[in-house]
Amino acid sequence: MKNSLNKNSTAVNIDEVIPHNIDDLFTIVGTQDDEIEKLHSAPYSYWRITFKNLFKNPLVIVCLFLLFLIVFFTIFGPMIHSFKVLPYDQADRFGEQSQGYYVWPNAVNWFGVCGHNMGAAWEGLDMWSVVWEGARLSLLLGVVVALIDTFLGILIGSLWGYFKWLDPIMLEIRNFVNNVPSILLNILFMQLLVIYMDDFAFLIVTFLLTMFGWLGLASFVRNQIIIIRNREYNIASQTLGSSSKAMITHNLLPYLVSVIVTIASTSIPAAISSEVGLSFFGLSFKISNGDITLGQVLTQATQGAVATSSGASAPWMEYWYLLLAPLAVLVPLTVAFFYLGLALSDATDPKNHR
Amino acid sequence: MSFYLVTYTILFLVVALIVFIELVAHQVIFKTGRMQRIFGHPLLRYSLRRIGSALISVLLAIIVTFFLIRATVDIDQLCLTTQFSTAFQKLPPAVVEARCDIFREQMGFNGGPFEQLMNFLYDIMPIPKTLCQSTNLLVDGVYYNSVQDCRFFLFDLGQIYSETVADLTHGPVYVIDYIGEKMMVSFPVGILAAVVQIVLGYPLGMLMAKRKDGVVDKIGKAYIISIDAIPGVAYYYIWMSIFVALFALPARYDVNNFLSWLPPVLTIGLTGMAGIALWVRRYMIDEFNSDYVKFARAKGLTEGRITRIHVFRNAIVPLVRTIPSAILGALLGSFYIERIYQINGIGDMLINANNAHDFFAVQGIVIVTALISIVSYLLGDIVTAIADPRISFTE
Amino acid sequence: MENEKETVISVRNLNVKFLSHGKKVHVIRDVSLDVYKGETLAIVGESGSGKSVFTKTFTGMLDANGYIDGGSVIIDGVDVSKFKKSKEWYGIRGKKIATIFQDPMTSLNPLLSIGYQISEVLRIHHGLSKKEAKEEAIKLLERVKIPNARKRYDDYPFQYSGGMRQRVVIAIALACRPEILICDEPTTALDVTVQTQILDLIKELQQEYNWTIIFITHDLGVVAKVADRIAVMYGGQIVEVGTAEDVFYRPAHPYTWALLSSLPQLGSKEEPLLYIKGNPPTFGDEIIGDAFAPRNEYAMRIDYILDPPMTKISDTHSAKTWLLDKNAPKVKKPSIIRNLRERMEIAAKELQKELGDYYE
Repeated sequence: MKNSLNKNSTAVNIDEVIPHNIDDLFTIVGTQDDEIEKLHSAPYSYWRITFKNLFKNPLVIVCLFLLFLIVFFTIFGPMIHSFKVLPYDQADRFGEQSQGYYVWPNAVNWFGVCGHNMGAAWEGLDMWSVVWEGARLSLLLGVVVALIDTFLGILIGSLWGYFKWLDPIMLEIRNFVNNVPSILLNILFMQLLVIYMDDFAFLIVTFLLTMFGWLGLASFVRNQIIIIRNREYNIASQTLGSSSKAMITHNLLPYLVSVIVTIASTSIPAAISSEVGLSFFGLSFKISNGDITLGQVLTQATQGAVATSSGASAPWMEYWYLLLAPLAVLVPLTVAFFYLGLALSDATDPKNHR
Repeated sequence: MSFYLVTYTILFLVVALIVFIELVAHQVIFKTGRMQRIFGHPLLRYSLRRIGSALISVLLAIIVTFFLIRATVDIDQLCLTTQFSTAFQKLPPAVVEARCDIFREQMGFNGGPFEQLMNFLYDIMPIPKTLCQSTNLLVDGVYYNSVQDCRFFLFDLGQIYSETVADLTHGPVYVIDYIGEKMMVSFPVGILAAVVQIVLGYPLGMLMAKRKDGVVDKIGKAYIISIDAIPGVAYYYIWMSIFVALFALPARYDVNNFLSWLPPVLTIGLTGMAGIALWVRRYMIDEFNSDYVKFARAKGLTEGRITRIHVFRNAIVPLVRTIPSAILGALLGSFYIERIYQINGIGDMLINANNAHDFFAVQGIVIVTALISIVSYLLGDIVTAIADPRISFTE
Repeated sequence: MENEKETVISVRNLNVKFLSHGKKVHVIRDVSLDVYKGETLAIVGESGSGKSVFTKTFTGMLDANGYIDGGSVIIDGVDVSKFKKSKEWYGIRGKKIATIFQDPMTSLNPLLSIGYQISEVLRIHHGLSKKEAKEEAIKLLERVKIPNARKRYDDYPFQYSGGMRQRVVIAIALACRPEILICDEPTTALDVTVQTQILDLIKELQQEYNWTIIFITHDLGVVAKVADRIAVMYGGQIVEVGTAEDVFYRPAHPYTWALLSSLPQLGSKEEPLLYIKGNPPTFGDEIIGDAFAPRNEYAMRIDYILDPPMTKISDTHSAKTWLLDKNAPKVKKPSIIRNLRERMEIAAKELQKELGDYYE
């Protein structure tokens, strides 16, 4: 039994493996000093590895391409097309009229035309222009709201994490938001703000979206700060006498950078989504003022009723292109941003950097 | 009279019990023995404290919305537009003023802001009161009040005055009754949807965790991402178009037609299950990687038993907290879904009430939502404490 | 081979690889070993030497990204290295081999009572009824010296200290009634005083139940207390294997020398403490020749070129070093371990004195 154990290893025959000089081979040379104390790793750069990890993922490239395409069309989309937003009385320029001025997508109106039952301001509008103009405002709003939310979230979250006495106040605010239906708060604030600043629709909608949008981010940042602060390496660093500046720049910030980047990128689609929700309850811009968002385009397709063979139904059920057109932009826009956010959070996480 | 006696006695007993529990807990009386064990139990005192702080939260919600509502509306304008048909222009100002005084009092707008608040709080506090409600009579284009019936209240949430909110032709409608009625409309759909979410969400999360990075996991992750990313309203319409266009289900909810229940129930269910699946998956993967699962494997337990008894049980402990709010939340329904499928539940009522500036109705919904929110939070704590033996209530 | 010992586990040329970030990492490299019935085999090595991974192959508990790439592990005539499904392991895990892990704080399910976790095993493996299982479990708890066992049956792990939990873990292992017990650093996470109690308990139970114990540790002090036979691992290989006598008093591999020299208990107050320079090879580096060569003061040129063969020194003792080759120059062992026996006796006396002080 013992023999079988050792059989395989003794099978190595030096003579066959390498040409040699026995005496030379069996000279003691000792340790390899330069080798043994070195750590086996390549030089490390946080951002280089972050980007390497990020672009390794083919879906990231797809998302970036989609976003580029959408941004391109929000700028040039309405220009490419000859039709601007057109009032009802000029609608005969579309040529053959279908009933109620609904026109299915065709060579002229690539995304079709909005019809009679969608409200006076919508009659006869070219869907292609409407969708891209809507996407432009939605995107702008999303970016502005995300920036404000992220800024407020990080600022308030850090203060919250730092000052213990803020805890009861912030908790009470959070309870309030949880306890009162958000739609009611939005309605009430909308009604209140419209009284004083009716002409500043963009400001009002931005306010409604940022009103409590920062709260989730703030409590997230607060928790992260408390967790990171209590990590053992930070306690160790403190014990070793690191200055608080060094601790913030070397221990806290690098970790928070990834958190911040992730928060910022996922709050863009979140803001766009919230605007859609506001539009649904008629709390967003007014098209009569010339402002269109994707949320409104979507909502408008579902409001009102058209007569059909089986009774009245919402316009989109009869003319489904009305729903498909805004969705065709809204879905890739939000999904691409959201996925990029997730990919960024993975790529910026130092734990995935090996 | 006996009503008053009974309620005041109950109120007194509740206050006495609270004082008693606090005294026992602080070992002022009954320092040891059975009374100490029962009434000094940390759970009791903890619950009291939680309920106390929760009530403060509710009060805050009520007060803030109370003033917000008042800030958004001009009561005199409202009086003119709602209490008179266009005839008010021809009426002498004194008559209009007198009518509007009555209206203001009805709507709780008499006196300064603080007095208004105190009146309102008195009404909603659990203090027994008998209220005689009036109904509006329309004579020659002017509404008149005629005292009709009196009723005993513990909580008085007021009365609905706008015909766009409720049908007032059969006498006065009390907010508290009407909310109850509307809840019963929202609840069946809501609770079925909650069941669908759980029935679909938990198994999906389990499957995803069990075969991490497998096909099911990848599809599930893609679905969860899409639900998280795409605006809720857009997703609801995507579901609706599938149900209505592809499966020819009714687009409008009708209590008596079960087929018409499917679209709203499935829309909420399929959307909501993603969140559940995400957390079930996350917690189960955490548990699968834990040392005690390795040890359970080393003990020779079968994979099935490890998943059922050890991993799943532990993974759902953080999730049971959400069960009370899922059930109670069903009472309120989903505002979006109720609008999309035209379910005349709470959400529908809130929008109508606010459009009609029906203050008591709006305020009533705020109170009920806030109460439901805190009660489900408290119940969530209790359920978690039952599920997790490590939780004790000594701070 | 006098008094032929019964082999319970027989490993031949075992190779284990891990897939890590798309790269294959060779963690166990061509290891062969026999485990005999009733013995206590200690597997010694630094962290990362592969000692835990090696024993995990006996119970099929490699992490998801690890796999066996050649070689065999024969338990009871069955080659378990060929097992694919977890079902095939049910006859071995918990029945034949029980494992005790390093951290008792996390080994027990925090949400199930101690009693449940013991009686669960009894009900499943031995078909006891709930009631019988409870009585048996209480007996086991008493056996591992949990005071008030009946009362504490319904307690939860969070109510126990580390040492108590490790006793419960041992009670669960007892409930399995295994032939072989793998102890994966069972005392590392415990206080020194508790360590001794747990080791004594394991030894006591071994005599009672005639277990075969495989003891994984990096603590040579523990090894000296418990082991009949010792296998020293380095860089995913067994570099020296022999009886405790062989390895402690006649060590043949330079790594074993280095290990023994760096035992703090053996140093005297005048001499500086010795340590092994450098770091063990990280997995992912390709190892050419002897893995220990870069840290080996006695490394020869050939050590950097060719993997040395396992060379037999006596019936019970072999080592994997070129120093045992007939061509190798004669080298002197480090002075500190040449008179190891005396030093150990001195250390033992000092320890006794200290403990005496401690208990007074």
